[in-house]
Amino acid sequence: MTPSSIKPDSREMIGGQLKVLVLVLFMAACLRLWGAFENPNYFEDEPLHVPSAISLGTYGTTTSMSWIHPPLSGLILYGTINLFGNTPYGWRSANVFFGTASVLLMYLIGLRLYPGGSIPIIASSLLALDPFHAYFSRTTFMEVPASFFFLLYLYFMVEYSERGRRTLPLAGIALGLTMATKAYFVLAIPLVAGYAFYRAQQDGNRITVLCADFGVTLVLLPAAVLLLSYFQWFGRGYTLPEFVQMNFDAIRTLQSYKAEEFLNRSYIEAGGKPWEWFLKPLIFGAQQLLPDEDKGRFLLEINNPPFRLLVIPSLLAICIHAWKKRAVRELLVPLLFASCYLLFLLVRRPMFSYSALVVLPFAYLAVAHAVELFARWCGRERPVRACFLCAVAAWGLYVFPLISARLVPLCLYRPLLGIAKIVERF
Amino acid sequence: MPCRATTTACILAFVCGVLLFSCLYGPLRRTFVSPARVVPVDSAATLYKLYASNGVRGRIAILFTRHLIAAEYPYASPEIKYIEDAMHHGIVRELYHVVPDRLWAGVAWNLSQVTIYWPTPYGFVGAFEDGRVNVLPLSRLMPMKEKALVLLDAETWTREELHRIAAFIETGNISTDLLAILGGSPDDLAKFDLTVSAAAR
Repeated sequence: MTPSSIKPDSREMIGGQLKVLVLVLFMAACLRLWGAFENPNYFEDEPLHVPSAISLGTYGTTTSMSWIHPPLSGLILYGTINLFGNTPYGWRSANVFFGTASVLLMYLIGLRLYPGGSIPIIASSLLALDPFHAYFSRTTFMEVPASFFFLLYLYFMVEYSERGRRTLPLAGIALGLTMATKAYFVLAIPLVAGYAFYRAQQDGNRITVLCADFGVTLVLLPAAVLLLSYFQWFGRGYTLPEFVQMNFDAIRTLQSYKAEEFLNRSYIEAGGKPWEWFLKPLIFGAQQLLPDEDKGRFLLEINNPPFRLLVIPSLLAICIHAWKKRAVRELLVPLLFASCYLLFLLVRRPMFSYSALVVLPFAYLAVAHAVELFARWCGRERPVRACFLCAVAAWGLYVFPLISARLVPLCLYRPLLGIAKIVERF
Repeated sequence: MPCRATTTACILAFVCGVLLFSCLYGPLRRTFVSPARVVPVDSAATLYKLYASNGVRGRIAILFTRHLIAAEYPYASPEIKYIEDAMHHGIVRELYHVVPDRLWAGVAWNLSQVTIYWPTPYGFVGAFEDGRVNVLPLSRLMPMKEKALVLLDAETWTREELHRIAAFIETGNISTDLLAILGGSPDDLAKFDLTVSAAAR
């Protein structure tokens, strides 16, 4: 296994990018932290998640039907509640951390997959300033830690496949943590493993040795981590056969859900169907209008239309580029996107728009790659990259007040508020 | 960096440890009452206190009664929430709700209208965060290897049905360390006391 080499001029570029990265991480942290703990009341699904986490920590069982998902996010939430109290700090600090750290992982993954360009910094900037990702990083949804753990798995696998580092055991632990959070990546996980296996085999490793390594680190180890995450559930007197039974019950229960059974089904309807998430602007949520004043506060889910609408064309462009270059590695990101997104399109149950969080990293890697291809095709790389990054920052900062309940004059946001669906008032 | 063999050995040891844990930890956490006893209770709340005071945990419970959970039967006594609390607090991990055969048609129809219950060869089963709830008629009650907490709501059953239940316990098809009788006569109490004692021997 030969690690990929980085040229001296690329090292200079990376050095310059590191400064931009620090700025991007700082902005990511600010967008997720600023005012996140001001709201002393529950919002979004916090009235479900917080009592469920406390019940999980106390009795080893959840409330509000959360049992159909693995327990790790509830345990993390219970941990932060124990650390910081049953307060907004205890509820939201975990997602602030995971949301911000996901931006760093995006950069590192981009660096390994696309060394020597600006794709890592563009992709991480897109995620850092994405109002949708920032919104959910300020509350308790398990999609944020699930995405983080998968990115961690992907990072360690890319380190293994691209640089020959012995990170398979770490990837196995990250994979176990992913499986112990939520089951979005059932197709993406073997896809990444298959890619790494293919690359390792191309580098001359024996198949039998690879099978043994992958079997131990990517099957047995994650399964053990997943089982361990249920330690409190086992403490209620259950055994391994009952664990298997419980998982079959959970799948059956999940498949029986209908939209009308959800208390917050207005959010399902307002959030659009999965096929719409990357094809049209979707803005909805809660508002607080001040009487007799043209001002208000908003907590809106905004699907980042200027950049989300670039995702599908970018994926197509990359697929064509990969086909022309006959480069398997170029297809990894589009396939990762497809592996998660197909689940949303094919699953037979109502989908909330927040599920799109888990495909955003792949979507933005694709957009960043397409921007880079466009910049090279133009022959004006620096101006194109700079303009794009400025547009990302300007848009992210412009809509931030609408996701964070800042007091804003309505006139500044009329075009967006005109297409927004308000589903509740606070 | 440790060599591949060492890393693999460590991972396999960890995996074996977790497998052992998942097989043994649960059964070790179950607590039983000794010696086995039969206790009269006058209300559902008393039953919950009985379980809590005896420190039972992680158990199977078999309830021979008609109505179970207050949420499904809004006109039932709110005290029937006892079994929800017992399951939520980890006293009971799986429930068998046994109803008289003569009432089974109505129960089956009710459950068939509820999406969280689905039919099985012996009755219906529902999966909840606090555990599984199996609902079945007396004629399909199966032998159980594990000692169970048993509640017998005597007023629900005829004499003949009570004899059948007693026979189940006496022959060891159901073993119990704590049998609570709700309602019923002193004769019922004495009869089941003998039954449980005989089964324990």
